[in-house]
Amino acid sequence: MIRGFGLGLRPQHYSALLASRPPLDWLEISSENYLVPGGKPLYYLDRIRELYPIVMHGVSLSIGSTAPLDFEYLAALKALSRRVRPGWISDHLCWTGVGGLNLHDLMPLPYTAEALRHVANRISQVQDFLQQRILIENVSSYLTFRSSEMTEWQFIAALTAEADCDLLLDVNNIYVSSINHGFDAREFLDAIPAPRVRQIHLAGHSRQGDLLIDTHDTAVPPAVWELYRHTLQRLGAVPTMIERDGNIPELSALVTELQLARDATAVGAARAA
Amino acid sequence: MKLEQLQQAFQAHVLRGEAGIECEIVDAARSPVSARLGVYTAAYVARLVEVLGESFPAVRMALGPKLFERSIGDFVRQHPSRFRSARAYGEELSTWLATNLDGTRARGGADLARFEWAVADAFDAGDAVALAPGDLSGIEPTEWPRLQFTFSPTLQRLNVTSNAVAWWKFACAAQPRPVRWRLTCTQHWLVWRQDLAVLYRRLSRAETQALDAARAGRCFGDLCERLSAAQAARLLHDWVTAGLIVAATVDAGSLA
Repeated sequence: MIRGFGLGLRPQHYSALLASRPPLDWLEISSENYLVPGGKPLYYLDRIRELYPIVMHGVSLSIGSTAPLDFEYLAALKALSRRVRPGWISDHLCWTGVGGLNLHDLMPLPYTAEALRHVANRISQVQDFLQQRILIENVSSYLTFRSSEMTEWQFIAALTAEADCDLLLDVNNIYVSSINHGFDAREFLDAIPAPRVRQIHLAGHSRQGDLLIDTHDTAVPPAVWELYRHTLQRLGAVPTMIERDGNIPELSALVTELQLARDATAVGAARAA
Repeated sequence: MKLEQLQQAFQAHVLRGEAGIECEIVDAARSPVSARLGVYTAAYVARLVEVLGESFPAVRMALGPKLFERSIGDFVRQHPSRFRSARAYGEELSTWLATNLDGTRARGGADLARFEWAVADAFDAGDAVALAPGDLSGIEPTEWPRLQFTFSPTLQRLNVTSNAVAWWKFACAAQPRPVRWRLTCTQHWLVWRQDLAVLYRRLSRAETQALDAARAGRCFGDLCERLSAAQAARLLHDWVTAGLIVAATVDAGSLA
């Protein structure tokens, strides 16, 4: 059972993690980093798994793509999950390429009935293959398709019901998209089916002109913490982690930053009581 | 536009700047469609340039950041990724550098990229338990000539015709900066992983030929004929000590 507060496992922190064994409740791995034959990545993964529960988070599922599902990838993911015994497996609500090409990015979907049916069907196939329910994460986006027939939060709510999948709620992504598209982030949060939310991501972003970009290269900013506090009011305590992929600080700095999430959750619980 | 067409049009725009997707996107006054699409097109090139910079730090240092960014940017624009993992994307960089850089830099940059790729491959190649010297002690004298070897999956062999490895040592191992790319003769190199450490060493011509023959399945008796029994035994001892051999077999029987 995954509870409490975690961090994304990064190779820069392998040694510090094993040496200092900080008080983390769990770690999230980037699945693709460990889909390798051997060597250091798997060596450290096995050592760290002995100390911490782990969840797996991928970027290659391309669940929204109209290209065929990559069952070779899914088989590798399943083999890794047998090794890691993760709390769960997650990936993003996006597509990454078509026609055998890969854009290595989390590309946005139109929120249409066609896309909903397509993605729900593919999630069902993936869950059947992996023999477990997966978590789907909302992504940051920078444009809106004219063809969209519903909001992102309506799409997500309908998707979880249709595909019987769970959610990884990225609070930073909600904030980034709310600024980029001019919607109310609280309206998004309030429409999310609470029982489906199994995990929360917190992260930082950067500004590019009038747009916010999901860069994960800064500390979690105040606006995202504020939205996280609202999330806690709405959802109660949910396993939460900080995602950092650029300008990665010392492990101790991230452990300290994570304390802010613990504090916010404690305050939220006290208020609820 | 159906989902499939929309994704094809969007991808064509990101990869080749093709028109067709713009009319599918809401034009908001705060940020025009071009700026919104630009986030995705810029991110695609920037991400792969960054990944290649991480995969080829020595090529970057040897070419200088300006030439590297320009060359790699061209490479990314000409080579849409067909790889699931961005880490695998640099596989063809060496060949591209050989034909797209000028003069001695072309050969040197290509050799250096191959060497860095070999180091990266050795880093996360499959694990295998290496033979210990004592594992060969039980072999009957009559069996030695027919002994064949299986080598570590981490082993990489490459030949370079430039001073690329000196550039790699400069960039990654704090060695002095080489003064030139050109070499007077081909160098033979071995890259492998022992436990978790990626190692490399230069091979003599004789060891290169023996190692390549042994990897191709030639037996110990053949190596003795190519060299001498004493030389072959010394090489075998070196390979076992370095953790390069994971199995030795005589006919159908395995010793590992």
